[in-house]
Amino acid sequence: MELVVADVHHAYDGLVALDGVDLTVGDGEVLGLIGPSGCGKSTLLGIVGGMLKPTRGQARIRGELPPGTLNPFTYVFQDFALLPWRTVEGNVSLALEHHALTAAERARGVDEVLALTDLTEFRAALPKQLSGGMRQRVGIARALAARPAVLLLDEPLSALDAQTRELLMEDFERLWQRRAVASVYVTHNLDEALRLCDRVMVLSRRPGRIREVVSVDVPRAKRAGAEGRIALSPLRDRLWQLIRDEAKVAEREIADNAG
Amino acid sequence: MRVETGANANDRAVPFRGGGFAPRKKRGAALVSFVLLIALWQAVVQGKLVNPLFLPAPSSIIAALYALAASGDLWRHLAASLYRISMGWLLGTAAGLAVGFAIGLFSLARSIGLPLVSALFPIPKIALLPLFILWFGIGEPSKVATIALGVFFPTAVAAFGAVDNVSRTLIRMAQSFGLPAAEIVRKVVLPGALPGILSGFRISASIALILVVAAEMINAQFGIGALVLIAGNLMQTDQLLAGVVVLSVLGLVIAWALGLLERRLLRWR
Ligand SMILES: Nc1ncnc2c1ncn2[C@@H]1O[C@H](COP(=O)(O)OP(=O)(O)OP(=O)(O)O)[C@@H](O)[C@H]1O
Ligand SMILES: [Mg+2]
Repeated sequence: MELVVADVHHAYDGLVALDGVDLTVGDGEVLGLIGPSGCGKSTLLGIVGGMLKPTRGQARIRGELPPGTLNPFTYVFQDFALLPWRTVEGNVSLALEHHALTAAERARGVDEVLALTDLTEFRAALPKQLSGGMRQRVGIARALAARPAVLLLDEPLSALDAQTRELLMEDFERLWQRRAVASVYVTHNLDEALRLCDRVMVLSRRPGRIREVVSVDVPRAKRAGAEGRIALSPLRDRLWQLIRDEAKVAEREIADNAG
Repeated sequence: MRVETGANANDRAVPFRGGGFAPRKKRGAALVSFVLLIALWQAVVQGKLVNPLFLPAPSSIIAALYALAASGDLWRHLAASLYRISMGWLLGTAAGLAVGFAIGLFSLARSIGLPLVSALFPIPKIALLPLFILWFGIGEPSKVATIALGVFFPTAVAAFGAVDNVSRTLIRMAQSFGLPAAEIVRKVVLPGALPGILSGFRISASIALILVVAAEMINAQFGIGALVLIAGNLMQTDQLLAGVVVLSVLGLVIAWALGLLERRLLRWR
C-alpha cells in the first residue's frame, strides 16, 4: 500500500497555500514535513486525511489497505483533542465504538493499544489528571486503536516540554519498530524530524511548494545520543539552510491570519 | 569562595510586599452574622421600635408558618405552586433545548431561529398572561404557559451558546475518526454543551420562580403567590412574610439541587 498525493493545490479565498504538491509515502515509511510557519503543512495534512477539500488535485491510496484497517487516515493532534469527560479508556474506545465489532473485540483492541503505549494502569484516569505527555500518549493510543493505514501527525510534540518530547520520541521509535505504519509527521523541529523520519520533505512558503526531499540515511536505532547527533548534524545544517531565510520572513510577518 | 551570611551594619532587609488580595472564607462568620441580624430584628420589634403590623418579629413569622402548616393551607398553596413551576419549567426547557440545539447545529434553523429568538427574548413574559387567559382560560394552562415561555427563551439562548462553544477541534477529531453525525452530537456536542446548559438551568429556574409568584398574584386561589397577596390584603404581615420565607427556601432548595446535579454530571471538569 502506498499513499499518493498528486498535484495538490489549495487556496484560502485568494491566498495560495499549496501550489502543486506531489508526494508518495511508502508502506511503513515515515515522511517528515517541515517548513516555515504558514507554509501549508497543516493544510496538506488536512487534505491527505480528507478534512479539507483541495482546490485541485487529490490524495489517493494505491494498493490494498492493510487487513483490519478501520479508519484509513487517522490523526494525532497537537493539542491532543481528548474528550475531557471520558476516561483514558473511554477516549481510546471512541475510535472503535461506531465500528461493527463485538464487545470482546473492542475490549481487546483497547487493551492492546493501552499496553502498547504503557497506559494500562491509567485507564480509569480522566484527561485532567494526566500530564501533557500522558495525554498525548492517549492520543496516540486512540489513533492506533483505529488501525490506520496512514498515521497523520500534526506537530504531535509541540505542546510538550523538551524533556517530555524526548521521552515521547523514544516511544515513537519503539512504536514504529514494533508496528510499522505509514506516517506523515509534521513538525517545526528539525531534530524531531531527523530522529523519527525516513525522509524529510521541506516545503517553501507562499505559495507552498516542495523545496527538497532529504533522505535520512542513518539507521533509526543510531540516531539518539551524542553520536547520533554528530551523524545527523550535516543533514541538520542542510535543512536549516533550506528553511532559515523563509523562517525569518515568516517570523517578522504581522499576524493578520493566524492559522 | 566563602560567603559571609552574618548580619552586617550596612545590610538592609528586603521588604515583603506580596501580601493581601487573597480573601478567604472565615468559618462560622456567616452563621454568626445571620443569627445576630435575626436577633437584632427580634429585639427591635419587641422593644416596640417599629409597629409589628408593618414588620412582624421573626418569632411571629415562625408562629404563622407553623399555623399554616398545621392547618394544611401551606401544603395546598405549595403544591399548587410546585405543580405550575414544574410543568412550566419542563415544557419551556424541553422546547428551549430543542430550539437551542437546532440553532446551534443547523444553518437554516440558525438563520430563522436566531433573529426570532433575539427579537422575542426581551418581551416581559408576564405581560402576556392576560392574553393567555383569553386563549387558554383562567385555570392552570395560562399560568403554565407564561412560565414555559419565560423559561423557553433563556434556555434556548443558553443551549445555542453552549453548542456554539463546543470545541471545533473535538468535533473535527470525531469526524476524522469517522463518527457519524448523530454520534458526534451524542458523544461530543451534548456532553460538551452540558456545562452551559446547566448554568442556563439556574437562570431559568429563578425566572420560573418569579413568574409563578407573579402569575399567582394576578389571578389564583391557591399558590404561594396568592397566599402572599391575600395576606397583604388582610394586613396579615406575619403570614405574608411566612410566604416569602417559603419562597426563599424553595429558591435555595432549587439552587442546591442544581448544584448537586452539576457536581455529579461535571465531575470531569
Ligand atoms: N482557514 C483558513 N483561512 C484562511 N487562511 C488560512 C486558513 N488556514 C490557514 N490559512 C493560511 O494558509 C497558509 C498555510 O497555513 P497552514 O496552517 O497550512 O500552515 P502551517 O505550515 O501548518 O503553519 P504552522 O507551522 O504555523 O502550523 C497560512 O498562510 C495561513 O495563514
Ligand atoms: Mg500547522
